[in-house]
Amino acid sequence: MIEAKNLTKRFGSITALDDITATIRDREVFGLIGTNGAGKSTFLRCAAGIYRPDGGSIAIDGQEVFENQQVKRRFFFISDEQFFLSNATPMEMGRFYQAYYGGFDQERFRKLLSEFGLEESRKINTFSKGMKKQLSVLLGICAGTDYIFCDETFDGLDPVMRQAVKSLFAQEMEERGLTPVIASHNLRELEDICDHVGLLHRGGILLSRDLDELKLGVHKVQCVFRQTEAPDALAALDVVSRDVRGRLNTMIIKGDEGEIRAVMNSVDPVFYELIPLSLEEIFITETEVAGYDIKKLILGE
Amino acid sequence: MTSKSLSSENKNQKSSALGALILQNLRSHMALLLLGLVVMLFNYPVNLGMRLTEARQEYMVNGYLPEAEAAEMTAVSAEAVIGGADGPTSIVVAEKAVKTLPEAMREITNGVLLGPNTLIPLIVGIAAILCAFSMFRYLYSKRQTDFYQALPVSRGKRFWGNYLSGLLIMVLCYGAGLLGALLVSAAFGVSHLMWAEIAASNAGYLLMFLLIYTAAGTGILLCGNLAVGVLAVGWLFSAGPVLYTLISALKTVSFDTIYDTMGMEQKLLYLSPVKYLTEYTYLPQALAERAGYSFRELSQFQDVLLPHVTRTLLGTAAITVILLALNCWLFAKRPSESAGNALAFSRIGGPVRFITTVAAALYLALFGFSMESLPWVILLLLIGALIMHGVMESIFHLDIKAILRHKGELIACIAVSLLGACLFWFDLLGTNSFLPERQEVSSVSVYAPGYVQDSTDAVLQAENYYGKAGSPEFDPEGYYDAHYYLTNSLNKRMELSSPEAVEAALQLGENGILHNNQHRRGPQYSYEGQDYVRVIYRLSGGEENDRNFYVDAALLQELMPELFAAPGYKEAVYPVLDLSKEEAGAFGLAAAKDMNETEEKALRKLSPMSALSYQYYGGSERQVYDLTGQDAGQSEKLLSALQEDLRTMDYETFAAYCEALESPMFSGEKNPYSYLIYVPLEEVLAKEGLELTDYTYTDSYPILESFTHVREVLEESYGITLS
Repeated sequence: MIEAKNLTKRFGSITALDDITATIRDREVFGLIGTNGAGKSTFLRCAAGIYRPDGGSIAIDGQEVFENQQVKRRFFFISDEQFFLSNATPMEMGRFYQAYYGGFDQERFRKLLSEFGLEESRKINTFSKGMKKQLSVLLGICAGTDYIFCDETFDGLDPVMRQAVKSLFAQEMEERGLTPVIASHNLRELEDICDHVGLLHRGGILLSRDLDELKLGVHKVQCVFRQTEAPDALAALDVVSRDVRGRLNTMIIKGDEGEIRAVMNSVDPVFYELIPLSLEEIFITETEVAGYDIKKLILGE
Repeated sequence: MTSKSLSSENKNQKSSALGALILQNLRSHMALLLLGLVVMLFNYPVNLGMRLTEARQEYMVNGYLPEAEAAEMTAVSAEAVIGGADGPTSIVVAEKAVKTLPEAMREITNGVLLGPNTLIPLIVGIAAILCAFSMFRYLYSKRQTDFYQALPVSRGKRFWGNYLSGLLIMVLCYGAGLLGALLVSAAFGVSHLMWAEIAASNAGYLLMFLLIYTAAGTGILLCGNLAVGVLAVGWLFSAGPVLYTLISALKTVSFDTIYDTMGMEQKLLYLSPVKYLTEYTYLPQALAERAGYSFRELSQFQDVLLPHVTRTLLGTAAITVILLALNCWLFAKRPSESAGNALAFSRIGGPVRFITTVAAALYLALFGFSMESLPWVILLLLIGALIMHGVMESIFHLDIKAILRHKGELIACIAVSLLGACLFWFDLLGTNSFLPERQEVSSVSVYAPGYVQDSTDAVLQAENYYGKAGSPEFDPEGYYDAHYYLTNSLNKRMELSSPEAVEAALQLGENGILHNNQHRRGPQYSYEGQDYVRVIYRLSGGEENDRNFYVDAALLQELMPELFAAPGYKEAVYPVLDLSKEEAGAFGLAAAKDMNETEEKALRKLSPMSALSYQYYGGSERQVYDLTGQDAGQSEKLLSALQEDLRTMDYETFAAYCEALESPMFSGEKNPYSYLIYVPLEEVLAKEGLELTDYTYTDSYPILESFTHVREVLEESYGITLS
């Protein structure tokens, strides 16, 4: 289990991580989402022991990560900008990592390279961006670590490869309890893979919840009321946003599904329906609540 | 499994991980390794092969002596042999003539392997910097920092892995070069090499490599960007010498009454690792000389050079260890996020900016000092401070728009620079006007060039062949120029402690300071009516105050008799007075041109001192006749006579001689004085590493009317009666 307690990281006058407390449970896919500059990469770099925290701590199973060789053997970090040794081939990189990760599975690596169509003796600097990402993931998978930290790893992968990587993760989770921690702002990609999400915003954590729980707690309601004005009974609900187009109302409402349905039934609308929220909509909703007005950004209001 | 076996297993794992790191580094720096190998192979085996081939060809053409014959010869006899009918030839040719080809090849091989005849100091310096950048440059890249820092390797291990890899690259290349050279020498049949010296010399070079490599590493670790890293290494390597030249230049243009303005600032040179390398190179040179690379015997090797180089090596080792510890700490503390920034530790920015700005301001102000204009000093100082501070700001922020940041700091820099300039311009510390109290002075030395006349050169050279003063402080720049040491010898030898002499020296000082205060700043003024004197005040605490003064000529003339009469003055001015009979060398006579018939007849009986290359005495070129030859008895007689005459000579006689020389009636060919020429003994010269073939080290003494003892010997022994 990865535990961040009051984790703080500053770059000069900028506070990239501000007193973050979060827990990443084992054998779950943790999605780290957030706006640009929210601190996702910084959080992952702290978790990978690259950055030394300025305050608080980040530990794996109670052991601090920074400068802890034993703990660092338990994860593999895939940066958003991958680096490979100059003129190295995939097999050379495999041998390189084998020196650091005792459990690196060369045989599997060779097999996966073949399955993903990556030539094992071709120079990596001739690979495309997507191929390099695939290679990084394969190296990470074969390192045999308990955790794999992926920073924007799915960007640049074609849909087929994305699906293949997701399957790989799923397989590894099932077989040996791998815990992937994935930072991304491409929420659609995380939606069907994450069990738990941490939403970072301006260096702080807005929420850290199971995705299912999160989805159950926020609902999109589309309805047409009989009258033009919204009925007073709606005040009993926690309406986060309401968008009116003609007579069609689209509302994001926080709360239990049963309570929402009860209130909606009581106001007797022409029609209403509860639509499940996408992760992207949850993200926008939560950030709006936190004062990050996306409409202003889009419309320049 | 016991805890002991667990711990040893852990240790093995650690060492194997370090080994893996080094191996990976070597693989990733294969290009550097290959480059190093090529350079070293050219520097050692190829270079040696070419030299040995050349030597072989040269000796085949000129012929070389069989071993038995060569063993009997000396450089001088060989010179005569080789010179033959054409007269003396160069010492280089003579040198070759007394060696056999195997000897010459051994010398060449020793020379190449010891280092001085290769580019090794330059290679060591460049390789150290290249290796440092190759091993630690990755810290400047965010991508590479992420990659390496995320690996399960501690920073300490990562540091040592990189550090040792750089060293290993050098050792491999160096070793390959030396091995190649040994193979080449074996192929040429060279044997009996100076193994111990070769090992010591090259170990020393490797230590120098370590120092420069580690120091460059410090510069690299302090920065986060390649361009700034290069500048930082340049700054670290040059700050000491730059500050040294600045301070010494300011002192030179400001402290007119100080003889040797060089002071503690010389130590600043040792802030640069390059200084240690240049100092060290004297050892391989000396070792090569010892190997017989030339005839010059470095007699001071044991006394001066070896202790000096030993100190240099110990200093190098100590500084390397300190820097290494610092680098370890910097590496551990270095924030990974600093990759790409100008500085990895922003706190060093302020002090570096401050020192650089103040130095640049004062450097530019130096032009104002040379123009003797205070407004220019201030204007140039301001310009220097503004430009340098702006440049430093834009470098540190990697932004040209940042040139005006830290205005308060800029003002502080200007204030400190102004204070520094004022210290020198107005001599606020009173360096020029300082004169010790009478009771503090234990002895003095006064050198007035106008009052030592012909004996000056003799005195300046005296230390060398009489060997009375011992070795001066080692100065590598002057090491091969024995004459370099001698410029200070008169003053160093003279210790006048009589109250009259001390009083006279203080009067000269007061007068000199008065003149200096009146004319110190402003346009150049005429020194008419003034004479130069150099005075050393030796204080009871042991310190020396060595001064330059321009004093009233009349005052000097008035005080000279007191100085001349002071015990110790003549002994300093005429070093021949110190010689014992056993040390008596050869004497010659440079007779005046207008000799009478009897004198000429007597002289014709003598043979000329033909080997004496310098024959310009008393203002004209004269034939020098050999008075003593191999006759030690005659030399002793002449030495005692000369010593007696010099001791009894009074000031009036000497002053009359000086005055006479000033008159055009006595100049050049018309000079009526004959001179006694003294040539030191070969063994006395050899003690100082000089050769008898070099006859420039001679004294000349005018045979004054009062020199009755000398005249008596000349008359009795040679029938020469000088008019």
